[in-house]
Amino acid sequence: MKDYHEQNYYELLDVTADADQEAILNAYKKARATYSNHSPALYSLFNKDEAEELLKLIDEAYAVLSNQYKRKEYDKKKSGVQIMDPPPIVQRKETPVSTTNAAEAQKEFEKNFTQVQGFRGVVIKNNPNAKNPPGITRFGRYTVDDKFETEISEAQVFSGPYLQKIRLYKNINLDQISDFSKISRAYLTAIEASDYTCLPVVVFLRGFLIQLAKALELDPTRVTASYLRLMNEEKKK
Amino acid sequence: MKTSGQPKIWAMGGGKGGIGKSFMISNLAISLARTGKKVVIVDLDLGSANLHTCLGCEIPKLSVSDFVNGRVDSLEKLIGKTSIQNLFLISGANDSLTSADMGKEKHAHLMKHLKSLPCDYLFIDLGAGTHEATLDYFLLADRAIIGFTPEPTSIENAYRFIKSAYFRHIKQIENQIGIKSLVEEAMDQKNTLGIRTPHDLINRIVTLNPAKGEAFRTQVESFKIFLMLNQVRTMSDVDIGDSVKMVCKKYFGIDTYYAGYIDYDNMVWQSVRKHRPLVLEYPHNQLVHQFNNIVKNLSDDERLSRTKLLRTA
Repeated sequence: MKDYHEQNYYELLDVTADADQEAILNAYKKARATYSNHSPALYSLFNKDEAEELLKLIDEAYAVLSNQYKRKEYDKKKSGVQIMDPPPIVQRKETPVSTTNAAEAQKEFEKNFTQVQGFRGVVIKNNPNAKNPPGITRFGRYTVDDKFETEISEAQVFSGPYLQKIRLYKNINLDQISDFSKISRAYLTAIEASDYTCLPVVVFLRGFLIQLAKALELDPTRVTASYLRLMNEEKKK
Repeated sequence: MKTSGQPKIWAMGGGKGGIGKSFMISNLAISLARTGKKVVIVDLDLGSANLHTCLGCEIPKLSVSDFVNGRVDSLEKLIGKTSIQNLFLISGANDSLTSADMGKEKHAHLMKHLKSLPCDYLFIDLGAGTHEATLDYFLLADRAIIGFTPEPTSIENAYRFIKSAYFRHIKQIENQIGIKSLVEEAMDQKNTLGIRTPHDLINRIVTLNPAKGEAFRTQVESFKIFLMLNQVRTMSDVDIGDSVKMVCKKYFGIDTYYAGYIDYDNMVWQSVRKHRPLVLEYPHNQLVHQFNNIVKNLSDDERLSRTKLLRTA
């Protein structure tokens, strides 16, 4: 039992050290819902600042634990610092008992990891020879393409179809974004099709774009500015 | 009545009045009695008892205060029948007007006799507020259930109740182990020790007394409570139970078990107006299943101990 400032990432999300990605994602969603500022469950115990601080810590915890590599690094560091804690066991149920040392267990784990369960029961098959770990969004996993990742990070122009391309690449469907952002599917489709006549006034549209950018883990400022600029140019014609 | 040993005790507390504590515990009791267990339900909401109304009984002639004041020599004589087989009631109705202010010795006396009642389960309905006696009965229970609704007022009072019960639990252990009590000071929110959360308090005690500190910590962590949410209207209301569980863990460091929720339903007040328990008046209502499920969850010792939620004796 510790104060939350001293809690490790696992304790922050209230998951066990051997929790799988599904469990971590679920715990993260629950934690986000709990500490976002209008949850009545916080009332009288945590004030707004503390809740914000907790949210930040929880985001940080999720960012690390949801990434296979970062998590491994973190586990290493953690077991180095706190000898009291049992070393994190990264093992799957299918792992045969004969697997004795940690390196073997790790190999076994990675073998099992080549076929992983996506968010809505979609099985994503990764190439076992590929170097890249699966990319992870708040909605599930996708296969990382380094070239496209670089392209996204350097992109300046975000048109509707380009946003759609990013979304499909990250293996996210419209329903998931709609659930997350509370924006109707109709508007999301119109945004992606650059169908400006069906879109609401700019003040709302900006809000929608920010939410969409967040869902796709893009920089909201860049996406919004670019999209609205394209729209204005189109309307002037 | 034939039984085996001491009854298991379930108690319902939770700070705020009017959130349906008596309604919930009476229907839980009915659900459990219907599975064939002998259940005695006792109304310890002294001063404002109305469990008999929830159960649809006549206003009983004898009540707890008759035993406490010595007019009746045995608690068993107070046990009255209800319209449900296997379910018996010890009422708090028609008690003397000062019964709410009963002294410590009388409470201890009552507690001792309650624990040796011949039944499988003893259900205790507690009043609103955080009186010492209320907290003691609550802490006595094998299943200490906090009832609340998804409203800020109720949640605030529920936390207040949890905090008070938790500090009372700590104080009992301080006495047992024999270390200087810091609870009194810590209970004052503006204390000079800088103790704001139970974390701070426990850490402080462990620092002051490292020798007994660990024994103390282990015992304190045996505090287990169960959450039960009433008047749920939407799916996000349901999730509030999970959120409260999470906040309890973060703030108090307490493991709680979200036993389940009960929907908001107009049939509830209609059944109360008819002086008939909901389970009997509307046997096909969704709520009946919800009560049955909660009873199933709470009486599954094996599952609960797997999740480390049973109090270590």
